[in-house]
Amino acid sequence: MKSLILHLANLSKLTFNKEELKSLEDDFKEILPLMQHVCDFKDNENSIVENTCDLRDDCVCETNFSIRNPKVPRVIT
Amino acid sequence: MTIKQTRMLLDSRKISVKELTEENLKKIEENKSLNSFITVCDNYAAECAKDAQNLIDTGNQKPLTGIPFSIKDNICTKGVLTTCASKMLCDFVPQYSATAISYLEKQKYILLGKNNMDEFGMGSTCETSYFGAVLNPVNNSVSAGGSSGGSAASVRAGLCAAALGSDTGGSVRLPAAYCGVFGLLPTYGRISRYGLIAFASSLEQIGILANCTDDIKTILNCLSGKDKNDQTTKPVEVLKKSGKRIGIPRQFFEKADSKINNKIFEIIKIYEKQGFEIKECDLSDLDYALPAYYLISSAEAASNLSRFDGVKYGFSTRGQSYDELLKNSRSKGFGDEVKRRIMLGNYALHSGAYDEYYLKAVKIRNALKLHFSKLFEEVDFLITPTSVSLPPKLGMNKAPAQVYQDDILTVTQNLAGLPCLNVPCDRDLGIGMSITGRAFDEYGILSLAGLLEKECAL
Repeated sequence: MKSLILHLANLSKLTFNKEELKSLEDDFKEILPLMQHVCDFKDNENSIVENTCDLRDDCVCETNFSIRNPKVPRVIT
Repeated sequence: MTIKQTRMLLDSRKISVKELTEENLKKIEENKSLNSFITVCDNYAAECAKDAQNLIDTGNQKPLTGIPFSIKDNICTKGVLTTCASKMLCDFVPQYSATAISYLEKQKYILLGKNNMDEFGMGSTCETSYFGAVLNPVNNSVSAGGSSGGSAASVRAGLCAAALGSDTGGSVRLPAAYCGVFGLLPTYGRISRYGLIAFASSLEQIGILANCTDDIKTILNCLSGKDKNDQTTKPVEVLKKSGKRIGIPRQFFEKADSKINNKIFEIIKIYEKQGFEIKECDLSDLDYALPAYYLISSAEAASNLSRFDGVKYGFSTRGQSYDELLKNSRSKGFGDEVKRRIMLGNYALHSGAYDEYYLKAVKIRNALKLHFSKLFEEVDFLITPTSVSLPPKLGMNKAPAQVYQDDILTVTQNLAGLPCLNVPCDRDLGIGMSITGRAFDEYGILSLAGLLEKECAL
């Protein structure tokens, strides 16, 4: 968990002292299992997914509501 | 006092805009301990009052001319400090007004000040503000709700006629319930988000807090419509399909306190007596909604808040290199909850978890939308509790994961982009009931709530 927190802090461009790191570790030990619940959701693999924006570093798409099929490779516009 | 009553007083010259404004500013000063304002605009309000009075004197007044408003501090107001209740923006003065504000300016409204809130809208008790917690005007020891707690407290305490807030996962409806006022989350696309400082762009909407449904209708009429600066806005469409079938999704009631449920069931009986058909229904995806909401909103927050780098604008501190300056500025400028959400967002988006978390959350959101559209083939409105519990005590220092659970009854409407109104059922205890309707059926929702206003003198 500590290494994950450090990795996330680095991705988020944030720094923490030892105490803050410990407190974040405790928080994420409770938050992540709550989020993990989404993994139990049974979806239809062939369904069309209405996506918002990808929001990943390499995504420059400005469209708020694009419809794409998860099986079709993503096109970066 | 309602907007209609204020309008009559102003138009009949029983009170001048200047007198009304001064009275409100005095009340704000007297209720300073509520901490519901970050900025009070004494001079600006006096200028607004002069313009408004001129319009009234020439007989050209509009529905909101001279009406005193307070605005949540994440909505840009040209020339007026807009902090998002964050150290990061503690000296930020916008160079333009949000579209919603410019519409109010055209009507010559009165801007009394900017309301306290949870930092960047992240929180549900109004305790994450850099400027301290907001107190509930009904009972100072309990939370005013969040994140638009300052706006709700101001309306309840009579410091303004109405207020604007923003709702990403319940941020207008929850404080409205806790403070005992009406709070509307409009349909996604009804009101322009241009000038609303972004937290989670695909979920949030500017919302309205007021004392009665007529006031909300008047303000909604003024704010809604297509805006070229926000491509997600839609031209005003008024649905005329609203019927008399009310759905009661049992999963929502299973999560709420029995005191809240009992109060809402009393109200449902009133509707039944008035000839409404009450149907029990299911929204079985409810348990997935909360993590899906937190993953999507945090992912969008991580992206939106990456602009705060200590260089372009916002809080800045020193560093030996660009990377150090960036990290130092963000670490000192953001509060703990904002940092947690940014990190959670980056967790959802990082390559190891993207498909399993973020993409799954998006699929859940889609499934919820489909589920709601099927429900709205069978019923016209859904009635649910707004909060799981009565307003919590301030300073409880609950663990973040526990705090997140409190949003479970409000996030589904944001995920589905549907309109939802909090109706105060017990103004003193802070019990609220939510009416959700089809997209763009705000008027149907307001009419349904209006029936209760007449019946129960809410």
